[in-house]
Amino acid sequence: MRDAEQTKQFTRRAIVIGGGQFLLSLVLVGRIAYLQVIEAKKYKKLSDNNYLKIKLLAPSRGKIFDCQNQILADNIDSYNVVLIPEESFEKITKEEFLDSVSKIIELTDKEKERILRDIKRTRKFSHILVKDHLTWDEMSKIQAKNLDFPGTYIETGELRIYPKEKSCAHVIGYVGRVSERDLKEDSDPLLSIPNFRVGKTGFEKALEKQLRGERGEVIQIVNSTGRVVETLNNRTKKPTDGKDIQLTIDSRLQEYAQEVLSREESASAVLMDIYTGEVLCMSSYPSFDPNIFNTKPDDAEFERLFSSNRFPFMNKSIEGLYAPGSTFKMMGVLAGLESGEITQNTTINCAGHMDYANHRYHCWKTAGHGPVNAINSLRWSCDIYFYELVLKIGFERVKEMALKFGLGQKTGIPLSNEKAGQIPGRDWKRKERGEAWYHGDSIGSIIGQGYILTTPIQLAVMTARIANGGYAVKPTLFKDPNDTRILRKENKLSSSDIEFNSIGIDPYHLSVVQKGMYAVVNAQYSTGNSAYINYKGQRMAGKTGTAQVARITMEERAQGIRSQYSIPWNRRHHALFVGYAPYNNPRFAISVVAEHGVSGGVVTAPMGRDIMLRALELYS
Amino acid sequence: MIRRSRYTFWGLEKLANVDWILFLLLFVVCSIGIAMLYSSGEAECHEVVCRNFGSWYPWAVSQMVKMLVGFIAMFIASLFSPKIFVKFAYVGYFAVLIVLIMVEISGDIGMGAQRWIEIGSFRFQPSELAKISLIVALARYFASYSISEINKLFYLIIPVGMVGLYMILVLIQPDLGTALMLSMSAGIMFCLAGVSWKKFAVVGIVILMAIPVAWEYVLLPYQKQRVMVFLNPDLDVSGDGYHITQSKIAMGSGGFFGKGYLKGSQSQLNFLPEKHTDFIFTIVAEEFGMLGCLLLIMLYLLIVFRCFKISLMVRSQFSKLLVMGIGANFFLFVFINISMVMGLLPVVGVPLPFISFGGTSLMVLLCSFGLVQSAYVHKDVLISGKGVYD
Repeated sequence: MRDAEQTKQFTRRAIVIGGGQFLLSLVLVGRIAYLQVIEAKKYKKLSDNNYLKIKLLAPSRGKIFDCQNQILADNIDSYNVVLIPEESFEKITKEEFLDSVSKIIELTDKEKERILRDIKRTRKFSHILVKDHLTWDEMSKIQAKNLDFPGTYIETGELRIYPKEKSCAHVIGYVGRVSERDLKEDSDPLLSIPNFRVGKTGFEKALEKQLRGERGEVIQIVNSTGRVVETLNNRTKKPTDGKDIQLTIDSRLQEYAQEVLSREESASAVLMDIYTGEVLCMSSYPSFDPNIFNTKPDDAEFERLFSSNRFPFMNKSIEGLYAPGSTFKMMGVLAGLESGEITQNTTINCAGHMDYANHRYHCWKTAGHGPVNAINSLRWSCDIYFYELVLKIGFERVKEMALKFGLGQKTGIPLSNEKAGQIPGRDWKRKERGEAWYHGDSIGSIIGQGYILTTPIQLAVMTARIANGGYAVKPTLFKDPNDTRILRKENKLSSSDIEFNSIGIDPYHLSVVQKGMYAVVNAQYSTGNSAYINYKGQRMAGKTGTAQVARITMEERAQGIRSQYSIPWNRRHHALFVGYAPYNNPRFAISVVAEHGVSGGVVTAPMGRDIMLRALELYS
Repeated sequence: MIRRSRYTFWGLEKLANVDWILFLLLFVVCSIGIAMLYSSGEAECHEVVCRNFGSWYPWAVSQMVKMLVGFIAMFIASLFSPKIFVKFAYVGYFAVLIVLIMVEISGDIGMGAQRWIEIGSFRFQPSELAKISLIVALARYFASYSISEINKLFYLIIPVGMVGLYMILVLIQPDLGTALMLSMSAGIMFCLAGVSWKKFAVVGIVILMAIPVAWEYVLLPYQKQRVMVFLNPDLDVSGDGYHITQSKIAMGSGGFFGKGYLKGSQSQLNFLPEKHTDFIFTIVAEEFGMLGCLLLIMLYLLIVFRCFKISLMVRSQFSKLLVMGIGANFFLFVFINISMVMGLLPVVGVPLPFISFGGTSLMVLLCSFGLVQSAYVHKDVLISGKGVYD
């Protein structure tokens, strides 16, 4: 039977094919299970990445106030015009649009080119910046003519401004664009927001974390072309604004200090509360206007500032390293008294010079001071007294004393770039120079020359510790809102108000030094008479210093150059002054350093006097 | 048994005897297709915000009309006796051949290949028609010879020639996917007819050896590119690989239960390319998950199984070959399309039967099931050896 055979064969073949189809179906099912069950998580994530976009919301940066609640760093709204091509160019061409816009706001050809390029490069629904930082006038005009410009809108951003401009620039610092380095050091996604600003120097940098705040987020649904289709408002996380911060500095003193410091080419001053450590004034001259980085860009000014050899961007109060000169002599007297080798009344005869080990050492006064005791050693700043003293007690004791008073180490003020300086000694010299410590080193160091380097803020701290009776006060810039001591009307402070430990100096020995410093300013014919004040019977104690930068060479001497004012500015002596006031009930310590100011007594003592006087006027 | 009556309504009483189970299965799958096309439909974007939640336009309604026409055609076809199809098998074959040649001369360019022909306002893809007319012609040819005759090489010259003519014309278009489909369904017909396994083995070896030659001389650059991307989708994630990558993301993210109807982010937000045509299975997978996929595949298998059963039921060899051939061809469509969107096969442009948008494919498929219905209705009709009358 042909048919029967055919049917049989057909059935066999049909079963084979049916079986094949069944097996192939199993392959499909297996693949489906693999994709949709085993790999489901991976693909779910990829799918979410496709259509969910996180838009970051920038927090408002914390403001900075001074101790009198004057605003030092503020945010202002900045207005930008933005256009959306698909809406803006529905009825008019790009050229017509730009023409009519430029009738209201100024657009350079370069800006127009940039806008046209952006339109070409991006999708028709993207948002393109037309112009940023509009003036109020421009903004209101654009808004009034809204109908003429469909698809444009005003975007509000934030700009940082510094109302006190130059006077607080070094302490506050400034914010700037995010740099490659910022991105490396900081993984906060906020940095990816265009036009986001981060602290670059000063307080803005040191307290970046607190000032910045935390990001907010909006989750948006986008389609395959990137167009936002929906915003998931219920999943919006609002940004947490940065913390406002109050500083201890007083902008009135800052402004005045700038004025006083401007008498010199390059100078700095620190004024602090001797009990609380609150720094009321930290000023460095020349200064700069921090607004040039944000609201008032000025290329010429920028260039001038950066190329200046007076280093206007440097906060010399904490970054400037200077030999303390004679302001270091208090350390010598205290080391002597504490060692027991001398008393207040031990006298040394100054003949204007001293011969030691085949070398003749001079006093600054060639005629000599005659018999000098502890108090007069400071009053006259007699070098011979200290040469003899250091030969007797050794420099290591003096070094120990200097370290106790905060010299040669960072004060821990919350600003970056603070320098430590150095107090040399036997170990230091062996390690750093590979040489032994000679008596000559001691003689140089005891008068604050040689290898000693200090910062103005260290000198202020040293003075404060002398004035407050030997407490290890540390400078601070944070104003504790609960602490009203600085605002007290009466200058009464009991020792329980001091939260710092004693550094263990005999109060009597301190009183000798205090008397010496009083004499420096107030006794007749003393080195610091130009710092004399008498504000409602309140007096100042202090010490001047003049630190040698370079010797006048033999050649120059031969040319008849004797005066400091005849040699180039950058080789002249540094001038220093430290002081505290009021003498009877001390409250503020001050240090002033004028680079190449030639003379502490003539130049910096009056500057210290004026700033201190202003502080007393403001706070009593 | 067919109840014969002297008083007929032009034979319409035969409609009572169609396979209603098969009809129901087809209807359900077609309806799922309409639902998926609704989901892939794109609402017009107004102003800035647009998000589509499905739309009757532009595809679902158009497909519904074609579906209606297709079902009517199916019922009409089921009224005709298989004898008629036997009679017109070769005529049909040559008619399609002429149409394919016409396409080559004056066809429209669609998707970079000449696949369309226009008659008035009616556009259709003749290559879809070719698949069915080839099966019918081969069924008629093989049904007229005994197994011993079929296994003589001489008798295979004509059917191989028939397949070859179509394939060459389709390859010229160029439509590699359809050409492969044609060769595969023809292969199934040869197998069902009883061609010995030995011959298949020889052909298999020849094909394997021909592949490097084909790669060099036959495949066009874009076809090679597709195969390359299939072998390594990471090659081109934003270009050709984009399709398959996004398709896998859509499927995988659907998980077991799916994201819900009209809630597939990949499809609704247009991450899926060609989602209404070749890649429509990914919408099913994304919105209904593995559960939906399995259900749909089960429906497809039931249709194939129904054809299998009918082919064993009918008495004439022609009907057996025809029904089983149509069923296998249908399975091939399903298998190739789903494998393609899941990254198991290169993207060759085969639509998912009854679901993908495309009038020609839908109507040709429904007509082919009309032939199956006709075989079912006339299951006891015998067709004589040389295929004329019983």
